[in-house]
Amino acid sequence: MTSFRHTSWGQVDRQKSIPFTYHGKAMSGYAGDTVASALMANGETIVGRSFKYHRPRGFWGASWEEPNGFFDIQVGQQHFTNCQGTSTQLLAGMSIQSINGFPSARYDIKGGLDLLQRFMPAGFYYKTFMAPDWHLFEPSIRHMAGMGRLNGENLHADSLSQKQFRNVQTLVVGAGIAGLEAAYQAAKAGQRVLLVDDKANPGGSYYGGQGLIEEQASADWIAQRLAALQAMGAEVMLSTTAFGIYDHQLVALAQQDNLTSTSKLIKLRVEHLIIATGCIDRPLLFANNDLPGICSAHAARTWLQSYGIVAGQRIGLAINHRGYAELSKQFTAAGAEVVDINLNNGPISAHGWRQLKSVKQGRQQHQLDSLLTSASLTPVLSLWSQAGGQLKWHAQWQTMLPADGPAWCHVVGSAAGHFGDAECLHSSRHYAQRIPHKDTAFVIVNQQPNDNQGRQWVDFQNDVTSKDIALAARENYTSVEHLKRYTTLGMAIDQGKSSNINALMLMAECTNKPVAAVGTTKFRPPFTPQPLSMYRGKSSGKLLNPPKRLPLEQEHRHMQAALKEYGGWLRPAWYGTQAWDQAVNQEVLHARTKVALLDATPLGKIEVMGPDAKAFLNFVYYNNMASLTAGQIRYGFMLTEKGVVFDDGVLTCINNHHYLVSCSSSHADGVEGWLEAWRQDGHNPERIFIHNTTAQWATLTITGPAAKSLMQSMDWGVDLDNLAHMQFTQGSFKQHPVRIARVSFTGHTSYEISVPSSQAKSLWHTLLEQGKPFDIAPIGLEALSVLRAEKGFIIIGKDTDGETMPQDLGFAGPLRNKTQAYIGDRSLRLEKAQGTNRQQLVGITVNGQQPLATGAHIVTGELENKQSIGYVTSSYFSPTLNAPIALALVKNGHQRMNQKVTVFNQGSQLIATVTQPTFVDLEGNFIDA
Amino acid sequence: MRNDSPRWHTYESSWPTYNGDGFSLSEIHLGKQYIVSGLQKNMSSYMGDLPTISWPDIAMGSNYLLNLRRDRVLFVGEKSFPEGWQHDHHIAISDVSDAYHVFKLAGDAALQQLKQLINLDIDQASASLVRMVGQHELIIYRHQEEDTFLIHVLRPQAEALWQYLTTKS
Repeated sequence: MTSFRHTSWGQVDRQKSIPFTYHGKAMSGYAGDTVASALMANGETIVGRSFKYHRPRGFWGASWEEPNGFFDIQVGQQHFTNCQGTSTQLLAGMSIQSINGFPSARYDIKGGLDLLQRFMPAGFYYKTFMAPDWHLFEPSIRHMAGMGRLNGENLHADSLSQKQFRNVQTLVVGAGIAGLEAAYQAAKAGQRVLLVDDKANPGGSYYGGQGLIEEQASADWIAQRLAALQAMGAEVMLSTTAFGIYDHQLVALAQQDNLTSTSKLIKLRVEHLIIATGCIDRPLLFANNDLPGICSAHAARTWLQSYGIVAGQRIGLAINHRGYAELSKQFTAAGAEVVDINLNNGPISAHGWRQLKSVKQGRQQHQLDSLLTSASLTPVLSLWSQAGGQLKWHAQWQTMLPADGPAWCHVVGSAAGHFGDAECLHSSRHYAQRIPHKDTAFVIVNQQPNDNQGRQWVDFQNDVTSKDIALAARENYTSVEHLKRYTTLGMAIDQGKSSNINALMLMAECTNKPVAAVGTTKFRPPFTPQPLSMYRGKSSGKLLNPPKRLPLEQEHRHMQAALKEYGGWLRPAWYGTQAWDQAVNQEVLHARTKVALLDATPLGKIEVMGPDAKAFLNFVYYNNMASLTAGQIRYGFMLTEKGVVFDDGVLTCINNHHYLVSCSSSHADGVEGWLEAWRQDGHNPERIFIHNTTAQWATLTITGPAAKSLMQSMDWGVDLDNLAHMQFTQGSFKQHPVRIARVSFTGHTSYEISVPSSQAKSLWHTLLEQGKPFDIAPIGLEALSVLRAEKGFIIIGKDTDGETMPQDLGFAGPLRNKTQAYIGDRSLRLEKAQGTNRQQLVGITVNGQQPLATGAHIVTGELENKQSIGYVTSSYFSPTLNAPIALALVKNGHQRMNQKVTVFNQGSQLIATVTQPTFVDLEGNFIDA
Repeated sequence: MRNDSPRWHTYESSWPTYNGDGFSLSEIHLGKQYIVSGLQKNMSSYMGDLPTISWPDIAMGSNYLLNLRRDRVLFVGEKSFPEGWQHDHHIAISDVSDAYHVFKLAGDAALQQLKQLINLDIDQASASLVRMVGQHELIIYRHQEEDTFLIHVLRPQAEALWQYLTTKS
């Protein structure tokens, strides 16, 4: 192809020169150019190398259907890879490199691989690199393959992106003449209309053309439609790609003017969608049809009309239908010599080395530097398919057309198979109706592939030939899904846009089936590749998943707390500036010997109210809650229907119609949802109501031998002398309500004091001040974890897994004694639940000072016969015992008490002893019940 | 073990007014807030003649009910109610005055700001004012003016929402 820029044609601004470099060579284009048009204007013919054989490739498509021309582009300090040349706007200062070729696409040292093509058919990776191990070959193959390479130093990580939600009555995708007319009709009918197009200019294939639409100059017709739309309040968004359709009529739009501008993701809810996405050329199959210089007829026309690029000096037209009747005149007028090739006269073959030199048909040979081809037109139906629309094969036109689909979605224009202008506009004017096709309006010649004179390329990007498809058929990879994976057809950026139909036809021929019976792969979003950075909007860094914040965070920081995330909350892990393990040990000993203060605000606080609240909670909890009376607290499990422990916590009876569920901090939302689901299913929702008040109350826990004395030294407006363990009362704190619960996470006497969150600071400072005589000190979550483990108090999700049932944790009482139905009841009685080989919670002790690794396996047997019988779930150094302790889930663990077991971790092993899962205060004296 | 304190700036639970491009964001205090659950007729008879706000209604006055779902409202105003199960009226009440921070987003571009968060359109009516934004359950409605929006956000998530609304994209 010896393309050149016409002196006056095209819509580029010749007054504005755009300098850029291509492989370091200085070049220039014009404002309005794409990277592709600028390179063609500068005479570049080989712009890419194929994926496997490194065949030289030139531009083939007009826009997003381009399979060959991809580039690494540097603009200033920003680096972008795999940029599609035909859809990337040229910017001043761009440094452009071709990809998949070294040192460049034009002179690629791997081009010699093509000589080995006989030994590298489809699937040769799978057959060749099996032994001794695929992973030996994988790195070098990956290095050779792949497309562009990211420059890690210049990633555009700081690039901005926006996200926006919108609604619209009618979205029209595609601003060609069909889309413009459909939008005009919808707006005229009073609809709120949004018209989008991925191009920077409206008009589709008429943009920049000299043709007539309804006997009017096309530019005038387009301008009139746009003006009318504007007058009726319709919105037109250009450089905006509708790339995906998701549930509930959500259409995803990507808006970006150029590589360096802010990208915007618009999540659009639509009532009606009109798809006017047009059609593309199907590549013509003939020998050597991948040579640079051979391109889609539609692309060549677009290059000419939009950028003034004439595809060659001597252009052949190999077009299998009457869809481009004006092309010959257009290119002749542009100064090219045009040769019409009649495909009825037999198959053709292309010849040339590194670029097209001639085309043979029988004994006739045409000297050409460019060949514009079209086997047929392929409607662009990705969005239709994503919306749930069906496709049907039109055998006469050799293409897929829209069939039945969702009522909110309509396809018009050539996307619906209305290829002529009159039919196209007629379908848009009646977009809500299914307009029948005029079969005589579009006629093609049936082309049979002919492998005799050379390879025929079906997928240009992935180097798939017609022989590869025949091979796949012979090896029984006949389903389209298998065909894709075996040959790599339709993979990567291209996703089969240009190759799918040819591949289906070839497979149909190989298997003697009709094409409709071969099927097609499902279209999936995104229609065109979108940068990941666009999806994030503001949600990156600290805004990606920010933790919940405590009302006392300032106070914790003031006391030099080390803050960490626990279950989605930013909480104090330990206090002070010393080494963390020393701090934790000190805090544990303080809680065991004096009195400690813990911020327990994140604990779930879910109120359940109503006349049926008690019965409901008795059903939801594994433990018997029916006997709970006002002021009492009971520990309990919630189980799933499968009997697996879902959450643990305490239930407080405030009065007979008002209960307080205190659940795990990280589980509060989950438990609320769980309760709400059961409330609405199987219970009378008018007699039970659930309020999550976790955020309303700040909770501080004081724990330790002096906790009771401290509480009694303060005025709570209520008598605490007789408040026993697992009892609850309400009083006042500085004229604000206070809830006091005697429950313990540490095994020592503890009080949970809850006040409205706005009073948290006041309570914190009061407790620290009043606690001075008792040497009160704050403790963090790490100390709490040790204190809990010393008593064998579990953490759900850490000391339990997806199979742990309450009897595995030593809580079999309700299973035996509870008579009322509860969630999980039936599952606990199944054979699996009653088995003797279940993993059960035990303690593990070892000699020495080093704690076991959490996750270490308890094993039996030696060497390769080693078998895991369980694993360590929690492991700490206990300062109380001055020894390491651990909790573990071990098969049949309750029967292994005092047995020696082997603990294996990352190649090392040591001997440990199975114990009860309680290490401190076995008699329960600390609790002062 | 890592100390993540420096990663997060100190949360002070109060925010100065932020003036953005076409909008302002500030914290406001509305008095008491109660979650009230029950049948609509029971809630109406107990709470008195208070306007119930759905989307896109504009809340006027100082006492009103925000419609959260068919059996739940959020009372906003100066009145006080006893907490717990109100047996005679068959409704449940919880004080959540301290559970929510309330932000006021006002100005010509306020709605556009909200549209960065959620699918919200003045033309699309919704009985409920509850909107899920990521992990945040927000209550959003118009207040006093057509372009003034109040956002009730749970206290632990308020800082994150504030940062989101004031960070430029």
